[in-house]
Amino acid sequence: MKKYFYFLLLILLIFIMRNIYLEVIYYKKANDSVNEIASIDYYCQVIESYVPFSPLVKLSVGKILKISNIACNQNKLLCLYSLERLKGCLNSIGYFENHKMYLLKNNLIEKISKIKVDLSNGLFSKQKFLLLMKKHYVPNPLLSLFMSILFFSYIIIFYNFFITKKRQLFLLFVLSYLLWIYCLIII
Amino acid sequence: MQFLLNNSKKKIIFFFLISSVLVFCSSPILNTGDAGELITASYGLGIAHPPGYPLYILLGKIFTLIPVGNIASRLSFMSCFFSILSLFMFYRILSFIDVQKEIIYFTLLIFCFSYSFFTQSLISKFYTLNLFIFLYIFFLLLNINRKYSEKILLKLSFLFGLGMCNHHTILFLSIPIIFVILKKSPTKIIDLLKFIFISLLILCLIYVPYVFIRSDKNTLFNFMNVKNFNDLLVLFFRINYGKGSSLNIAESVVCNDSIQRLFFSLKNIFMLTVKEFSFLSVIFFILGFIRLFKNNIFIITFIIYSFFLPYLLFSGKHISKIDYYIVGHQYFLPTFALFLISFAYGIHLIVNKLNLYKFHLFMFTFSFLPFFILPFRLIDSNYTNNWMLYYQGIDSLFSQRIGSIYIVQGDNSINRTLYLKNIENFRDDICGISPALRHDYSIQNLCPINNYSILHNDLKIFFNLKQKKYIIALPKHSYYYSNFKDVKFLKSKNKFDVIDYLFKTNTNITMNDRIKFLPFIENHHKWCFYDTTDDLFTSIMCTVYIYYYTYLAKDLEKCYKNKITINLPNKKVTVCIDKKNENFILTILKLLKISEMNFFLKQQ
Repeated sequence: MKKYFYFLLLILLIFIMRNIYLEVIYYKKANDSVNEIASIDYYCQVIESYVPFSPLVKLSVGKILKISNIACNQNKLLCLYSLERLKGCLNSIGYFENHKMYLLKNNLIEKISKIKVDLSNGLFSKQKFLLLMKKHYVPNPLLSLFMSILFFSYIIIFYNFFITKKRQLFLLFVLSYLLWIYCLIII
Repeated sequence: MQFLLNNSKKKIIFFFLISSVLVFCSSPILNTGDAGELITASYGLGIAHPPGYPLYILLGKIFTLIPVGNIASRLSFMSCFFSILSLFMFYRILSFIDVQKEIIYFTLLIFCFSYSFFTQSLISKFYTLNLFIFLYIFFLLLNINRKYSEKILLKLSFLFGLGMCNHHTILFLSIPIIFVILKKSPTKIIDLLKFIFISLLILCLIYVPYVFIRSDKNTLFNFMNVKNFNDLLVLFFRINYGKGSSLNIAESVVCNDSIQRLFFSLKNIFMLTVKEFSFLSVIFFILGFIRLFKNNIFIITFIIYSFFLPYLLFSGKHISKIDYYIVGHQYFLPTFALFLISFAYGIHLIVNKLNLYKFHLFMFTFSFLPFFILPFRLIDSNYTNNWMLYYQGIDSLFSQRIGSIYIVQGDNSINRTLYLKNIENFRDDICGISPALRHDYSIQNLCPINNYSILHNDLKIFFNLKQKKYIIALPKHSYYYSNFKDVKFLKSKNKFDVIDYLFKTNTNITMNDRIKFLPFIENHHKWCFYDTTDDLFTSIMCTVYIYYYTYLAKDLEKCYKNKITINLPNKKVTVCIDKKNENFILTILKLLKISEMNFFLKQQ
């Protein structure tokens, strides 16, 4: 079992290295691009190749916001593009967000709604966009983690019960299984 | 046989090298095919297309919790993980039948760098998980065939049950398992009942509650709502697929032209195998086959039985390129693994006959020889730059007007829209609808009415099951984009503004509308050239840009002199050049030519 754990750790390390490599490459390309759209795309790719505590991700978020601030005064379409892309790539790295990220996302949603109202010539109100953007069906991350642990637990316990035929294991299996079902319902 | 390194160190280095290659080449974002749907279903704990794949989704959910990369790349990483585990299981199988270590490494590398295995390891799909379960079951069958044990039977039943919660092709293993139990077990019927009971119990413990509970929830993707036992059977046996359903495939075993069908299936699988491993491998396979026939009749029976799978799924007289791509390169990974067992045995035989194992340096070099195939795979299957589908999805959504209803057509477009809209929440003001043939799943997943009624007060979408059409009622201020026949528009109020999708023909779209997206499209189109994979769908998706440039050029025509005829994949379009816009049109035509060339090169 220990061997498998080390193996998993090893390939996870390779995965992290791959993402660091991609982040560096995309960041360089983003800085070298003269075109704003290409820069936004590459900075977003840096964020998409997210590695925890990476300074490049923070820098890329800052650079996109900087581009959008300039674009919002001149080109509404580019402004919408930069903000939508930033929101998109922040969402694509999952729910590992701190308070700062939460505020940033809320700020983005506010700004995007405002531009959308302008671009639709006032056909839709800002309130409607805000309501729409806050509707998500992403399962709770902690509950998902708990549910995943329960899933593995009850399968292993069930397997061991069949081999050892111990009553305690059966009770443990029933308990973990019912908890798993409960998690599936409430997630 | 200890040359330079002992075996355990060699094994560690070997698997480290393979893992590095696979992880570095894996897809950094969603790829073509079902990936978008599977990623969305895994992230949201939903139900994917039939049979629902609950095991893949539950395992995928665990992988989405890894805080590295984006959600899509985590699922590609999962494929890599299971392909490495499959190779490890393959190593154990070859060791079990006493093949020399150097030949095992050689065979593993051949398998790893074969086109189908390599490609499936890098994208978000369930085939590597399926292969792992298959190889594990096969390994247990080999064990049980040598020495019967109840513990192994339990393990086998468990794995079979888990396999049924993943992909239906695992059902194919039931016959060999039953055969081995009846042949080897001292209490034949009791053990057989035990196997059936445990595997069905696992299926009932995982598949049934998962499907019933999650299909009733508001998730990121639910293919269908399972309300009763009948729905459950529809999902499990893929009845929605008509002729392609599991039941119909099973029924088609006995047919009038079975001999002809067998011939075609053998021909097809032979062609596919030669494409994967070259003709030379067939010679070693035959040698190994003859040897195994004397030593291990069980493996031979299994190999012969494995050719039954192409009989069911790959027995057409003429196999199209798409069939080759979709069926040929996905379903037969287990068949290839079995082919390579005999192949390894054939090489083992030659090495023993010629006493080559005495030459340590030769054997060491030989074991790592298949690395010469790697450069080819790094070109045709390197997904590192496969961002094209993603960017095209962004273009398609971004070019829609605010609050519009967007019609999505085709699996690739639907699945990438699912990812972009439901995971990234990119342009969440757009409601998406696809022409689903048998279910209204697109309304639930791309345009939940409860949400979009916020924008469109009177939005009503009905799915007419009889006509297989959507009937959409919209207020007059809604913008509507459509380009296909399956949709019937029901005018609920006075007037509709019907506009075609930006990239397609017959548009009411103005030149200004189209041209303002040129900078975005120019930037994203380049990913068609950066991508080196020979992915058929990527090249097909790139043709959309050809349409865009052509119609942009046509928009810009001001005169009827200097006509230029452009040959599109489906038709010819005439464009005129004016002196005022000559340079601009020529640039666009240049881009068009490059994109056409790129498309045709990929088609080759």
